[in-house]
Amino acid sequence: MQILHTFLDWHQMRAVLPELIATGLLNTLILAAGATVIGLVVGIVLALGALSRHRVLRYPSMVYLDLFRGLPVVLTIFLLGQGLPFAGFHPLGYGSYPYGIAALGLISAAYIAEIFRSGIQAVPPGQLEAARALGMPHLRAMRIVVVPQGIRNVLPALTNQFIGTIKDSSLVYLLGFTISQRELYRIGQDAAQQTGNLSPLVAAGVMYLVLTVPLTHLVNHLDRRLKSGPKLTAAAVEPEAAPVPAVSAS
Amino acid sequence: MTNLDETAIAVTSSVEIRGLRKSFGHVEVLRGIDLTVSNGEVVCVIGPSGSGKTTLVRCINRMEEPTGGSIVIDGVDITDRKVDINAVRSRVGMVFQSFNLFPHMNALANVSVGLRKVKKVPKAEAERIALDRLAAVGLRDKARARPSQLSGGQQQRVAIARALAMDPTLMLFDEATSALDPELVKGVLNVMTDLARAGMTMVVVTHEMGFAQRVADRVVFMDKGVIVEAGPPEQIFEHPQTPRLQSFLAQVL
Ligand SMILES: Nc1ncnc2c1ncn2[C@@H]1O[C@H](COP(=O)(O)OP(=O)(O)OP(=O)(O)O)[C@@H](O)[C@H]1O
Ligand SMILES: [Mg+2]
Repeated sequence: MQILHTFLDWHQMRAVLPELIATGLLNTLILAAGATVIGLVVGIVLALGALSRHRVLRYPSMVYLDLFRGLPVVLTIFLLGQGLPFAGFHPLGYGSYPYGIAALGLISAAYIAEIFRSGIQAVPPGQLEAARALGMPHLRAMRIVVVPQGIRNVLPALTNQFIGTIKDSSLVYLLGFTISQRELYRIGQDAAQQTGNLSPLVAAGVMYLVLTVPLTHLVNHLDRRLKSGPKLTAAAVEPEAAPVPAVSAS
Repeated sequence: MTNLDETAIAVTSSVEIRGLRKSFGHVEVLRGIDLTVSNGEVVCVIGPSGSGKTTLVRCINRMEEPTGGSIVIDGVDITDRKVDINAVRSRVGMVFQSFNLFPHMNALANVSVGLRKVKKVPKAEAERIALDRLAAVGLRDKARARPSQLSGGQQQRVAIARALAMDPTLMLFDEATSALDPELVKGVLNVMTDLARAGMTMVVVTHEMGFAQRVADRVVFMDKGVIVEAGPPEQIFEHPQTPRLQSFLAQVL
């Protein structure tokens, strides 16, 4: 009974629930979504760089990928989130919140770049060739023909990455947030410390699962649709928006 | 079945290839090719696998960078680094063995995308031209279909329409029918025949000896990176001079 009380005390959970939802869930979503937007923008640039034929573009991108994927998330968050302001750089102001988003975003950019890169490489080379043969310059051919196909291949992996970022966002509290900036984990942890009971932390965990479990199933669903191949394209066919008068081919 | 023959091609290109060489690493795949294609001429390239046919046509729009020699299209040496290769490619149509239609676009978008994104033609005008080219290959009613909903033969005809939309002055075909089921080959060959009759300058790599015999003005036989024999189809198919061509024809005919 002691165990039940420590982890699943309903009253403790209910007490922390409003704050978990109003503040924690909101901040976790802001952190993860903001980081993912940064990650997508920086990630696609890095992916194109890593795929470039020019060394001056390729090498810096590869170094970035190696660095950010090779370091522990906590360390990167500290180095960027505390290090920058510490060193006298305040490009994002004096609060630590935007640095937290930026650090998470730059980390996920490395993983997203790798996802884009493999997705783009999975597009048959004939696609780029056909576009180039029409006279499209390389970058335009990538943008119009290759990247849109690559992105469809990588939706499951991107969703997975978003799940990872939701979980990683529990680390940015280390940078020191104000009360209203606390995300799910921090609120659960604070309440657990105040009450000496772990139930608020369990409640925070449930909130994470509410976010991540549906996404995980979405990944599985997307994966299955991709694997079923032609069906995807057949199902994705747009309806006859402006039917063309059928001309009898004589 | 198509209306290509009703509209003669107004402007065509000529090609003059001199001493063309191409190496991949240490392997020389083209070892000095000389070939002239006049305005409106149809040249079919035949030869055994690995003889360099694909490499030759891919050099003509510089999808492969030649390692030596010159390729002069309408008086301009396109192997010159200063040439705007994208401008050249926008006038040289290429049709691939594997179609390479863009699967995320319907047929109409496949055919109009070059006009819109290379020639910057406004959407409505581009689609009007695209529909016209789809009609020319007998597929106007498939404008809204995705490539995955089309047969291989239909896909290849859309690919030809995609090239034709750019108003090319020269068309390159690399085994356009080799990936097709036998019953679908004829439809594609008919479109190519119409195009030839309409006066297009064409370089056609093909295994379809019947097509070469009927449509080519000249047939070029390649082996091991060189042109071994070239001449009108009657001469190539009925009076082959070299043992290499004789044994090749014995195998394929
Ligand atoms: N990108 C490449 N890298 C290295 N070798 C290549 C490359 N492309 C072609 N080759 C080689 O060049 C030679 C000629 O190839 P090519 O594709 O031009 O022949 P082909 O006459 O078109 O043959 P096929 O009838 O089989 O299509 C072959 O030996 C091939 O292996
Ligand atoms: Mg070939």
